[in-house]
Amino acid sequence: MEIFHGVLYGLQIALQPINLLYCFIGVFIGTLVGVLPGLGPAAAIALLLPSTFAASPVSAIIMLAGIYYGAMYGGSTTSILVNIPGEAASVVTCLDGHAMARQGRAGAALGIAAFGSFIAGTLSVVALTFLAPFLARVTLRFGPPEYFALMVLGLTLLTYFARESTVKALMMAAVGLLCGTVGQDTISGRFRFTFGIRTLEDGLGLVPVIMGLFGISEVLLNLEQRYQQKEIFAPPTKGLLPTREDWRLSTTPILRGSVLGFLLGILPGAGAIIASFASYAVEKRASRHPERFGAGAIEGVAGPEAANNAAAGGAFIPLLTLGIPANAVMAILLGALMIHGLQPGPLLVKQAPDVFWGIITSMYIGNAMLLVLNLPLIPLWARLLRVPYATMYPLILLFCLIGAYSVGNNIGDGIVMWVFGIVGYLLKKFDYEGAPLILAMVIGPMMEEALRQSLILSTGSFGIFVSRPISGGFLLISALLLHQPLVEGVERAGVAAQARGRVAKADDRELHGGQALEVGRRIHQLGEVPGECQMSRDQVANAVAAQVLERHPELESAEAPGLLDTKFGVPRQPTEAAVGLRAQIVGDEAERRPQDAAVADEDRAAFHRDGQPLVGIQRDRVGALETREARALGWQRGTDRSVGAVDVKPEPLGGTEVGELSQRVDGARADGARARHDAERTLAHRAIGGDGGAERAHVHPVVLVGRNPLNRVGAQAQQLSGLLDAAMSLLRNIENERRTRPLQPVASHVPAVGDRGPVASGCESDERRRRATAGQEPHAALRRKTDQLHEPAHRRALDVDGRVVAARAARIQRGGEEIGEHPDRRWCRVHPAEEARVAVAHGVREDGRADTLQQNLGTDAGRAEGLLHQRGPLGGRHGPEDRPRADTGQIVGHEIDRFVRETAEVLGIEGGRRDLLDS
Amino acid sequence: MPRDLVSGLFWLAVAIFAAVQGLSLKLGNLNRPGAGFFPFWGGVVLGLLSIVLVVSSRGRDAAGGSRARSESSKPLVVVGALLGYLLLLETLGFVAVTFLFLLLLFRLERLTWAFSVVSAGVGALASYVLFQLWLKTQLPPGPFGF
Repeated sequence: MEIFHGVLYGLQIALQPINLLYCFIGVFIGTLVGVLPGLGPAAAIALLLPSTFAASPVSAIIMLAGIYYGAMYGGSTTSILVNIPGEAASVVTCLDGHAMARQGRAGAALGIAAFGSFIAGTLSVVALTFLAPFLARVTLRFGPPEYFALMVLGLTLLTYFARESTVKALMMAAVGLLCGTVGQDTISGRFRFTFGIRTLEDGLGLVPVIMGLFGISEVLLNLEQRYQQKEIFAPPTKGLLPTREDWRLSTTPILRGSVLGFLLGILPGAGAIIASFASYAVEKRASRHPERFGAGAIEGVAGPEAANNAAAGGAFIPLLTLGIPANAVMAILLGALMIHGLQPGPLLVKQAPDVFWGIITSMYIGNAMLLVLNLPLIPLWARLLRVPYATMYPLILLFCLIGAYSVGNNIGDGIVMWVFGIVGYLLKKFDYEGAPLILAMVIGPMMEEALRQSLILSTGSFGIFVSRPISGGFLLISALLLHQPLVEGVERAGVAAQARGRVAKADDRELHGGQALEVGRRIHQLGEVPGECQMSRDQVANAVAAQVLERHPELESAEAPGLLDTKFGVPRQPTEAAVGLRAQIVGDEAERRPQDAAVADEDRAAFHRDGQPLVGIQRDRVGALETREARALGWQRGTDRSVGAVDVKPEPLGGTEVGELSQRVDGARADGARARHDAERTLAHRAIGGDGGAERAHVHPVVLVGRNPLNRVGAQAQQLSGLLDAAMSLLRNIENERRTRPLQPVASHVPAVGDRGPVASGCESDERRRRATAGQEPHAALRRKTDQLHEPAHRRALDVDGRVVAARAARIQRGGEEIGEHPDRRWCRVHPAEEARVAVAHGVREDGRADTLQQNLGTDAGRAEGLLHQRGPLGGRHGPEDRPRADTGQIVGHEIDRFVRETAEVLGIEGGRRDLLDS
Repeated sequence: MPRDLVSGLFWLAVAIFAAVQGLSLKLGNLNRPGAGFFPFWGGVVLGLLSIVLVVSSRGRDAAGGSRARSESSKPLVVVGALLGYLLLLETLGFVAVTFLFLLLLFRLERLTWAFSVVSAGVGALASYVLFQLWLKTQLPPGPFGF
């Protein structure tokens, strides 16, 4: 009955026109800051706190609370339409919400997010209504030791849920406690850490500190990132109402999310972010079709959105019943209550029932307002998102300045904000979190008081904390939490959240190379946990792109306009099911020609899991053909295979490198690398024996995440982990490839290729070649000698990653198995266990399809093809009827002659080829 | 140098400073803890944690934790502009200094002069109206009375 009266009383207050207005303003502003990325509810509430000084306490708190839960609504809009979380708790909504938008179901996603938020928000307020008075009565009996123990538990939970390392979170809490001691000591009256500065005598102001840590530093971080205009999906004007099928799928997730969110919201430190991640994980596990998650599952929107709103409601419980804030936003609300002369805590319901019940009931109204208002306003928010950041951030900064100044009409507070802005910026740079600092700073003085009072009570014995059952219980829980992970599932969710959160940050332009590496590692670990790891394609792409950029800053340079678009680009054409990510070659298009690339075994291994090819390596010409080839390869139709491709841009080797190669050939230098095999000699010959010199290959990663748009099957966790691994390996290759290294022997690793035709190679004596070409010696004889390698199909050989590889080296037969066929190319699966070191490539076609190839790959390739075709057996699969043409040996001979001539020139050696080769 | 090492050493210094300050503020005894009690033990805890961080950072962080490159000097300019704003606010008055602040930042973003001047002017006046006239915030007046 007491509750019933309370609610009625609260309604009387909340329905007053002035309070309705404040509630409306609150939820409106809340939605606004939720929509705008880079401005969160904490900073917004801090900003608006001074403007509520004139209002009554009830109105002020109603408005500030409205900002908080309003932001939970708004965040989903940005996530769904732009794939950037509008605020942190909407990170997961990006995954499925944006995927739904891509499928043209933005309306349903926005609708279910709003309805889910409304339902969960209302449910959590109901729970708050019943729980809060009850808890307030219980906590009335708390003395200083209980409070102290409770706050210890709160801080522990906070660090337990920390996204970065626990040690760092604990350090932040300690720093926050120290910050909380600044000012006049309440017990002894002495000044601490004031350094004679006036402003500090009252302690560090919460508002300036929060605006510095969450407002200014956020802007500074965004400034140094490159921000590019993301594609914004046009907001739907209709279809916002979810269909019956949507409801059927979403009802249980919403209910589960509400319960989960509410419970996690109560815990200090957990809050809305963890709640949304946990809900996502739960829904995915509960789902009968977990593979749909990440590809536009409506449950993945409904659950987390419900959870973050429920958490917003739950977070009020510790504030209203204990006077302890559960998160940074609640810390400001606590400050707001105190500024308005109210003491939050168990006595609030008795001392200020109007505030207590007014806030709670206003949340029913606010939630209804949000639902009614926001669906029609979505187009407005979408337009707002198009405002460039360049015009936005000066205003954000200005508001922060005004806010900080107007708290006490004092420049000193502005300076405090300035300092903490820089501190916050550095903290983020060094991977610290601001939230524990804020909470500890607020809790600090209370905690200190409770501690000192307890010790005075117990006359100096710490036993008081343990002997009293409640405080002892709290401390025990804290100890357990700190020492071993109590709930493994929660922790795992936390780790997953962490990994996903960080990857998702790539969208938020916060992912740096080192972090991306870390993400890769984590995702890899998580890959063992089925269903735990799911990233959107863009997130994978961005994570990898971040790494590429980290290592190759030059790619960002202005020389290559349009490059970034390609790299981060969202494929616009429906045909492009694969997201292309390219570490682009800056160079002349015409110079590019298809080349083979060698990929080390370990890298290839990364492309495999359980013997299945997760990622194929494709010799590819990067460029406009990417899409076409992706299409041609049938990724869209059949499989959802992740594909990594290696692109090679030839570059002439320098003079010294040619020298080194020739040393390999003739073994001139005693201590130098010597050609060990005939085959290796051959290879080296090839390497330098092309038309005008050898080339160095550049390996560039192209990561294509194949998706099948028809059945919407998302790439699985393992695939993604394999993909990231593979991408990292490729990146390693890039780095290696930049270094000039001595050439490693290759031939011993090259498997015999059984069924290919004979090769007239440079290691043979002139006499034998002459005979072979004249048909005087059977092919079999040649073959025995030279089956190690094939004639390079292309005329140039390559030095890839320190290994000499014959360009267009042979298709690997042993252990290789064709997995795809295309008029222009073949795909081979190569088992990682095989020692094949030559490129995964395919033989050049022998069947006269040069024309097709010419069309598809460009004239250069066509010309090469033509040449090879002319050579006949060299490139193709060899059948008995397919005899070598008589001029083959001549061509090869000419080439060798020319190379020797040129090499001799380079080396300054007089004489002919025999001098060089036979010495 | 690993980042954790750098930040750990920094916090260690902070911790030592806090603990020393705490000592000078008098710890009191357990019966009646003094003003320095909490700062001292807070400093000790922070110091221990920083040492843990420093120790655990060795070797681990060196490879993976490369620091993000700063892409521009913009944050520096903005930090300077913020400080300038605060220092000039009470001498020049809210409207003038806000105008200059916005102008500087818009120009920093390479927006056109015309756009920058107009936007800065509108921004300054609008915020004056919003905060001073409507929300009754006490903003410092300049020599011209606003």
